[in-house]
Amino acid sequence: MDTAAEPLLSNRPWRQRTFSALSPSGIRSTVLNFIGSTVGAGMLSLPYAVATCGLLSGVLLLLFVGVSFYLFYASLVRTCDKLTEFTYVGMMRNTYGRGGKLVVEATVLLFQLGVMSTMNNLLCSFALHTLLDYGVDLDPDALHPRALFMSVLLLVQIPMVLPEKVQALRYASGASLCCVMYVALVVLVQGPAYIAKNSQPVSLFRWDVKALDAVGVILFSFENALIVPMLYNELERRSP
Amino acid sequence: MLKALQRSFVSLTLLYLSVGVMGALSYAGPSMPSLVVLRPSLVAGEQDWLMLVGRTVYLVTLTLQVPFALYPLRLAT
Repeated sequence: MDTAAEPLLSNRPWRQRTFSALSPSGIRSTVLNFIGSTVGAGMLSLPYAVATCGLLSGVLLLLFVGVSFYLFYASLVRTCDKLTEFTYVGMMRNTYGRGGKLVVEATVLLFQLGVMSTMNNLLCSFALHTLLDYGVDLDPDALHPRALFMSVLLLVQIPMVLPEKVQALRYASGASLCCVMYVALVVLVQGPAYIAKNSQPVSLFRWDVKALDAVGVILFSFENALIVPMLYNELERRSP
Repeated sequence: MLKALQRSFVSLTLLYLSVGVMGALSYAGPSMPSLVVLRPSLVAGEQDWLMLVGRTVYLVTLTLQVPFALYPLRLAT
């Protein structure tokens, strides 16, 4: 949010504030980027997770994990302010010196490479199976369509990482959020018809080994710790 | 930042609760697929076009996950 253009207590009407252009480092951009980077494949597995651990325990677990992650990120932001460092690597260097910095650099590198390869592999499989459902004649497990799709994917993704600030992705996050809302809307609108047809009862509480899968899915759906210090660093009028 | 986090978490939790609860109620059963977009159509043998479009547009969301994952790696040093 541009301080000169938009004061903290703006007198502009709600519609104008909501639908005006997104300024980099504003609260709306930060919210969009945070949600855009958090919502991923996890959301699609949430119905399965809630059904697996029981309806009431699923809801309670979602609320508990949401509050826990909120408190974690709030304390992370305060730590960034105290150390005046806005990356995990910087925080580790500040606290534990060069050794800590190297350890966290190696773990971040491994973690992100794992995320990148797993996500793109899943995405490739997901996209090719979707094309198959549209009636396109292809073998989704064959090497050539996968290699072709992976190349196209990298051509789209690599330019997105070139800007220096995460906030450069704010409009892409907005588009991503619209897609998420579309899927959520389809689930909600078709829900009553499915419920009328579905004869399987859903238990309220269910705690067995399978419920552990649900815990993992719900934790994964809120996890986004690495990007929070960076979004905070780019936010104007920063204050925890 | 707390304001941004609060807004994000309220939106996320409402979104997750609505999709999680409605999805679980609507197609729970022994043959339940792990992803809601892969649930069987209401009319057996027919394509659920609304959800197929949902699967297609969700590719945008999934594609964006990788650049977001790479930013901390790129900017951390």
